Amino acid sequence: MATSPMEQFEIVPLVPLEAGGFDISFTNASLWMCIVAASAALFLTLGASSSKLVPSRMQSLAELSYTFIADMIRSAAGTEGLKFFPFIFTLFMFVLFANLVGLLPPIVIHPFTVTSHIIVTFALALFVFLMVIVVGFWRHGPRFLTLFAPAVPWPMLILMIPIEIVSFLSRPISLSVRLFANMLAGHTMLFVFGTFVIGLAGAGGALSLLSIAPLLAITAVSALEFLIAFLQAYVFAILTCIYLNDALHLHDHH
Amino acid sequence: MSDDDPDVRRLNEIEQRLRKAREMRAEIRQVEAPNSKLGIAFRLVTELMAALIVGGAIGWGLDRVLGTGPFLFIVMFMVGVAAGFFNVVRSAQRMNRDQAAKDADSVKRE
Repeated sequence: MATSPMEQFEIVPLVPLEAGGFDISFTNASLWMCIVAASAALFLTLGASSSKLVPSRMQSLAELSYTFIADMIRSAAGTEGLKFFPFIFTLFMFVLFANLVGLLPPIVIHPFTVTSHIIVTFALALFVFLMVIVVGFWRHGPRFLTLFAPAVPWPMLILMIPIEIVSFLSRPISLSVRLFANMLAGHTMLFVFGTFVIGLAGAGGALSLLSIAPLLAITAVSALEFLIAFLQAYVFAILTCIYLNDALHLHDHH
Repeated sequence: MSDDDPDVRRLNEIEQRLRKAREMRAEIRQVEAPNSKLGIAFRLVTELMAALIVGGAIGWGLDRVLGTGPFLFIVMFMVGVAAGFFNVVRSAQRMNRDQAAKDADSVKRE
């Protein structure tokens, strides 16, 4: 049995590989990323395989996720933002499935939550950040830089431009830290409550009866974790849309 | 792209039909995202912290490169604090706006 709440986040190489002095081993994180991508693809393929007018459960779930993201993009980044639908939908599905797969009960193998590693979430956030910059310059040219100059009297710009630049640079950090910290905290909490249950049940006597309390707590926390898994994927996707909106429509807000 | 391109015209046509269909099914449009108070608090805290860290890191880095002692670190840290507050206020405004839109929508539906 795992003894430390952090053990579930450990990265173990499954197939040791090395290239040019870099360790590029196929780890459990890589394996679970593949599982996440495969399960998201399977979910959507199953949903789309038999398109009926009266949808089956799978089909309506897949269609619901489509309309959910399409509506979200439309409201946050306008109809123009729909050009980025494939990217945002993929991002949302990957994060959502990574969060959900990590919540699977550890029956044979312990599931690994890839989004509980900041390097994974930061890579995703950095990609979004770079895309926003590329899209902004591609659409507006050097005028994109006026994003950093809000409409204030000009002496204020001396103060505002550094503030706006720092605020802009902080986006990938807040985006990645939010997702990573939520996942890390949730899974650690589940583990800690789990050890309470085992510890109290093993204590014997009246203490064993008390183990029902953390058991109820772990049930409630598990339900909350499902909500958070969805909520964090949603927040990640909608913030991507909002940042994209800045790049698409300079200075006007939807 | 020109407007007389048949593909563009077809796309515009489809867009208009879609808009009509969307208006007819307004109740599906507002897909509700769950929002917990804890989630809101956490969102705001990370906005603040991220700007603080970025500001501090830029100042620290510049100090190391330019050898200007702790001054740029202090200045950029303060800029980071200001940027963090801006981020928080902006997110809060956005949340308020979303909430207001949601309320207006639910009143309309009733």
